[in-house]
Amino acid sequence: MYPHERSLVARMKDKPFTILGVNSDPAVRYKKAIKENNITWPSFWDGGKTGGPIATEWAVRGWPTIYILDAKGVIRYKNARGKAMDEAVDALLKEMEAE
Amino acid sequence: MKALLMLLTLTAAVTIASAQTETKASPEEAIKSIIATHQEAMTAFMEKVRALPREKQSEFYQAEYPKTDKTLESLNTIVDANPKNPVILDAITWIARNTRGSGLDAEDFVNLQKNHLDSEKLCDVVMSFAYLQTPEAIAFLTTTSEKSKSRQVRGSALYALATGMKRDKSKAKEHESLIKKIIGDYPDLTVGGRNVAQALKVEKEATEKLAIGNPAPEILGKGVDGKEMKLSDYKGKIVVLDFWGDW
Repeated sequence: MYPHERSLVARMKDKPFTILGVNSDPAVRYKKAIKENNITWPSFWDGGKTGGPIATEWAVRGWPTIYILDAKGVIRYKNARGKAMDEAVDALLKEMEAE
Repeated sequence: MKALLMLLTLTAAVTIASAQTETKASPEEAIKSIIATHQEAMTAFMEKVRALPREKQSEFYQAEYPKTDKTLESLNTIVDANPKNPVILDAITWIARNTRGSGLDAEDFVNLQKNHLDSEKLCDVVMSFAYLQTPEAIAFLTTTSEKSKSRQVRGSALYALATGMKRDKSKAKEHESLIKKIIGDYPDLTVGGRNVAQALKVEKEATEKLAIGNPAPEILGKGVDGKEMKLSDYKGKIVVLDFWGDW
């Protein structure tokens, strides 16, 4: 999943786009993961455990869980991964460009 | 001489009697001891797994996982011999959990329904059936949820049904109506000491709030460096919100 996300970020480099993580790892592990996997996008740190406050409010029961939001902050897709994530992002970008 | 003989006879009688109590342990004691023996084997096995280097753990785990067949056989003998005794419910719970239901037969379900439908102890049994997903288990849970005289048992059976179908997308509608029923009819339902009806309600409200087409709720949080961040900082951008962990 990291390679896919890295390539998506690279492809969207000049577009209004970001991956925003909510990370549930203990701090040490999280820092190590960022370094080892070349994660350049920001993440909230959810307190070091899976039952953290953000994951709880967002009713997250499985990891990873993905929500894709449009530029207005509206939830548009849930759990679109891989190719489906690319397509979702492309569709939202097209929508923005049409407006 | 006569006294000595009598004493000998007495001793013999006592010895026989105590030997009999040993072999004729009560069903309750027998079930406890059989389950404990298996648990000891499991604990010893897990210790061995942990002592191995990581790369060898998986192979050892597959090859040496403690077998359940002897435990199952001993438990089944007691279950079959004591159909009306409520203590067999512990044995049935164990069998359901440790054999994914393959150790249960149709007779067990008939017997549970006939002799134990109203027993509060059936709560544990129905929860152990949640993931079996066999037609017999589902039929039993459905009947129990309708016919048990115990409210707690009826609620638990509904919760077990809902839990079992949660991941099955084709049953989403059915799942939704079960959850509604649990929240509405059994708001005080506790399973394993936890108020599950309340938890389901919170989860349902969150899911509704987070439906596609709704505005994303604000997230106020911090990065791992302690710097404050919020979701609305990214308005104007398409956001892939990714709940992740490195595991």
